[in-house]
Amino acid sequence: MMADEGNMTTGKPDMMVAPVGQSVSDRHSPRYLRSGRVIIGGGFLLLMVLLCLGSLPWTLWGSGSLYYDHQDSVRSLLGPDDSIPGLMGSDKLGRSLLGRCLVGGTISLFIGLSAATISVVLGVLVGLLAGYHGGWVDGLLMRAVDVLFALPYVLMVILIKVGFEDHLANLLGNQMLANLLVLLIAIGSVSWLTMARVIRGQVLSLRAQPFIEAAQAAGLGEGRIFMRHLLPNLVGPITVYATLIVPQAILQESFLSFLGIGIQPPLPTWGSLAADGLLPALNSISPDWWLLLFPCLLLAVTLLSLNFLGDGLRDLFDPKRESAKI
Amino acid sequence: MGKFILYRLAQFPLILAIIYLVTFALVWVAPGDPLDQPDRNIDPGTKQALRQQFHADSAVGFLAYYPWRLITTGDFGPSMANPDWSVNEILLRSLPVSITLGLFAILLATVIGVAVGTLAALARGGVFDWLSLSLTLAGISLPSFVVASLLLSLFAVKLGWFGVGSWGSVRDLVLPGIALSLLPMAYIARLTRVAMIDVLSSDFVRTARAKGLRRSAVIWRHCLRNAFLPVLSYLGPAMAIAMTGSFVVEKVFNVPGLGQHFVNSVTNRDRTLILGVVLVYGTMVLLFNLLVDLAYAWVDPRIEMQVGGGNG
Amino acid sequence: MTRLVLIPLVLLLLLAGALFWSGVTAEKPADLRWINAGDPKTLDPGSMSWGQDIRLASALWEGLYRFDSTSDQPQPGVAQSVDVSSDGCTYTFHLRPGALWSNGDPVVAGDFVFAWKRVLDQPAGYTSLLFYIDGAQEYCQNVQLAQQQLRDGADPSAISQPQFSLVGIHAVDDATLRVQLKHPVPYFLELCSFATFYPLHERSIAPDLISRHPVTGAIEIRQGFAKPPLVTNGPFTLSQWSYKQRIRLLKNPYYWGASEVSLNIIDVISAEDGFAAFQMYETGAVDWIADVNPEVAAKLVRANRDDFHVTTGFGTYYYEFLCDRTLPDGRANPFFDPRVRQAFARAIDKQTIVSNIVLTGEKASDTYIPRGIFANYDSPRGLSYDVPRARQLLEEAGYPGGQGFPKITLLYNTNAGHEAIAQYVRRQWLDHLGVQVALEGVEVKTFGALKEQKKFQICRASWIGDYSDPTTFSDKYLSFSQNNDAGWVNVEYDRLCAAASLEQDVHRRMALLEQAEQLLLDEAPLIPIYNYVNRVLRRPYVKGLQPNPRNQQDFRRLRIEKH
Repeated sequence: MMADEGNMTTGKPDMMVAPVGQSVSDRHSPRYLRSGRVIIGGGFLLLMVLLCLGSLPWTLWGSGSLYYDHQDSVRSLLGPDDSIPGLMGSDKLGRSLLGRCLVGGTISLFIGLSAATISVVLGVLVGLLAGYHGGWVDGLLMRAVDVLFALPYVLMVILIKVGFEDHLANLLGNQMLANLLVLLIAIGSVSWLTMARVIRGQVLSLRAQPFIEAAQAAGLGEGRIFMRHLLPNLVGPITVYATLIVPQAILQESFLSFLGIGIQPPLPTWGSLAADGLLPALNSISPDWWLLLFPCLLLAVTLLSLNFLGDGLRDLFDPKRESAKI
Repeated sequence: MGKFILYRLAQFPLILAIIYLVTFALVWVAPGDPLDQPDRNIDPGTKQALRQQFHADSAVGFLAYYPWRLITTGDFGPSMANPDWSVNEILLRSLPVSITLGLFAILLATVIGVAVGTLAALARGGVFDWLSLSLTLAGISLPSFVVASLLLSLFAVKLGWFGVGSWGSVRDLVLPGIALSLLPMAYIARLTRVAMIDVLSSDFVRTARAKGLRRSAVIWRHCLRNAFLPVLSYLGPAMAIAMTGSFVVEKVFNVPGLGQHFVNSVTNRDRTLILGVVLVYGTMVLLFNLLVDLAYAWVDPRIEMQVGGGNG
Repeated sequence: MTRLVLIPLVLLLLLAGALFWSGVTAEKPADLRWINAGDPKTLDPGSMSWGQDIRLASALWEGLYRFDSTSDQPQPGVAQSVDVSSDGCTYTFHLRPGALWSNGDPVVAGDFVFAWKRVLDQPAGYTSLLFYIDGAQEYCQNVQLAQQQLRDGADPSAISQPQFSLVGIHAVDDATLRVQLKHPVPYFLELCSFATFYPLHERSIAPDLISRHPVTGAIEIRQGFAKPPLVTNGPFTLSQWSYKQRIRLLKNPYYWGASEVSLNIIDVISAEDGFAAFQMYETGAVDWIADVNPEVAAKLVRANRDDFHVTTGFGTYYYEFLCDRTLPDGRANPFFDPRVRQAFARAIDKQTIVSNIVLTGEKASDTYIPRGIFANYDSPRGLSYDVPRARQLLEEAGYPGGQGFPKITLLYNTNAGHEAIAQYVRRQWLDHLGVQVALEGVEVKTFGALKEQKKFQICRASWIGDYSDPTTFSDKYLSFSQNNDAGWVNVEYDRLCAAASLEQDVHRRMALLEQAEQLLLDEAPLIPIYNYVNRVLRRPYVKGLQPNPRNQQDFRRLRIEKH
């Protein structure tokens, strides 16, 4: 299942986001390269976020032709060169692809960020507890992580989704909200494992350092030690991993859309747009290429930016770290 | 060493048992029944009879029947959605396909990934470094269904170099293999690059160079082994994942592998098959993690095996 | 370093071994390669219920009668002739002397008795088709009851024995089978060509797969017998079944009509994905796709491809209302009032759906039973698209302009293009009636469960007929039908259908059924949207594929003519 998005999360901890913990490149690559990556990645990302969010008044709350669900049978399947519905052409129902891409981007980024938040919170919590307490707490938590690692990611996400969506919809009384929430939980709850292992490793090495021992000796409470002494030292790795979890979560959502169990239409995401555009664009009879090209382009540029940003940040945050081997 | 292997192996049944129960709980709360069709209802009496045939009329009944049967006879029972087939038959038919494809993909990923990573490290900061880094990133910045479909459309449909939707010759391995290898290739290239840069600047390499050994000889003899270690520990889970198949690649290239069952068994609510697939996957992950730890020690004899020290 | 090089080498070696293991071999090419409408769920004819299984089974088995694509009327199969009693209830079949199993054994009347008894003993989706036979339903229920009692620990001597001899299925001798029906069934011969009525060869089933209940005598055949080597009596035999990969059929030399069978090897190729299937067709890997993916089909229609064939189908796509007095959550159900249902039905412009959303030549429909698929059946007129009338109806029902209409949802399953239609219809109801309908798209199994538990207000539905008689549609809305998901109860409808089942005269019978459908359409527990079509893609050299509503094929007549 290698190629199914995001099951790298089932990989070994230090390897998931690949060379993260082991970056030493900063020592060797010229500084402009590092900051260049952050500037390019961050710049593109900022641009994308501004575009998506800035256009929401027209795409999500408007009623004009840019409105993401503005159906118009006359404009069905116009290419970008037929230019009436905007730059990117239109889909089968005559909706502007530009409008849908902008809303889709908002939702994709939202899913990425939220899933990353969930995995950060879960991962940091478990990692902190396990690393700081050690002993049976550590053993129990880490064995649990082992078990979760040995569960097939794809199957679990689908099971969580079909198992809980309906119950949640009844509970919330809103199906669309339930759909989004289950999506986030399904993606977020399987991608915190790596985070937990990384944080645990960091905490283990921090705990052995004099300032923590000093804090303990001074009789500081556990919460205080966590908040004042441990967390500030973990901000670097957390930020880096979080940045790298976002693109994974976005890809995971696209995979779920490909399976037909992703976001609930008519709401789009880049992934669902790409999945829907696959057949129309790649068939040899009459390829409506724009339906695949534009969502994929936006998706790829954003993911590349995120990966660049993550790589660059890692180098900036950890100028000396050799390895996060656990 | 032997004690270490035994210790790890002894953990397997416990972990697998937990996996079984967790999955079963999730499967049981999912609405729907393997025997249902969307637009046609089965007579309630008939349905009850069918459920009893499958020992699936209650959770307790299910758990009383299947796990015991599995432990004593190694039989997962019949597939509930394709009753002509037993889960064992389905696994035995699709696993070889996935293992073949997975091995091919991992081989491709390792060879190319290590090569690209090494070259990038040697040219660090240069054009090739930048290019290879961006390319490996680009390979994982598109959904795999897009990449796989593009490969198929271009090389099989348009150019006709490969068969479409067939499985039965070595040639049929190539495209799905490439599609499956992109993600691990990107990771391996990046892992190798970082590790290689690290090794190149270490003291023993400088010493070796100072002794007058040729650059290529130093790289071959000394650097690659050390740079390969992180790749090796990544290979364990990567192989387990690649060799249990990919839904996307199998769907796009019509490959009869195991990956399709990770999705189809759930959409069919084929409870017996879901549990079979999950256990096979879990076993593979545990096994390959163990294998990698052993290979690690073999490649790098400095590492000692400790009971309880494994992180698999 | 050598150790390092060894790792890829070992991998390579393993790969070679795996290649060998996964059975990469060359084989004789097939005469015809085709893709069915999905992988078969089972090849056990007694437990089949999916269209693709039934299509494939007709190549392997033959019933007393058989489907014939040229006449669309059942033709003698294993039975050479039949005598029907004057009251239309007793059928005496005379079996063909030359009818043989694929191992050379003669097909005898006992093979049918065995197979039919087994379907009653071990019920499956279509067991109810056998309930037209006198005593069959009672017997089936008795078997279930007895087995339940035994499971509950009842004393074997105390339970009432199910009596199969009371069921109207009798082998008079090896060549004669007599069947006694409950009431005349004009389409019984056609049922005899259906998979549930196929015979089984008892002796060739492995002993560990078949058992007879020690107390009730009920036959149970464990699943897994329907795999090669499988003894069948149709024009082809099952030579190979590679799960989710390929099924290979070989001509059955013992088949009584073997001289008419042209093909020697048929490969049924698996392709889960409709787009992959199409690309296989385009590159010549398959010659015929029995059911083309709708999105691909839309493209083919637009490109005007002459190897793509769209023909009338055998089913209807529609929305249905839950008609109970209250909703599942206890609120009053607005759709209990027929006027509300009619208003919703009249507010949808179906023409736009078929011309803009489903693009493969489906016909917008105002009837539940597709027009023109049954001889002598004159479809009534349904409710037309009429927005002013719809508004008026809604106002009469107490919701002027949609005011005060309770919160309702439209349930559908998220695959297969239901989404686009739901989005469109939601918009129409909002624009035309002022009613906000929330969409509830769920995964298909969840959909099935919600629908069966009647946890919906409006939902997507479809019905595809099984045999050539309007009752295959109209039975669904009988008040006691297990498939009546709408929960619509109408005494008059039940009465008309019952009268039709007793009526011997074809025209009067059809007139009664027409009246029943008229009532159904006027009361509107459902909104017909469009009639299905069959979408077939085939190379011109594949001959003998006869278009017919059910998209069943007569595999005897298929042939390949390449110049």
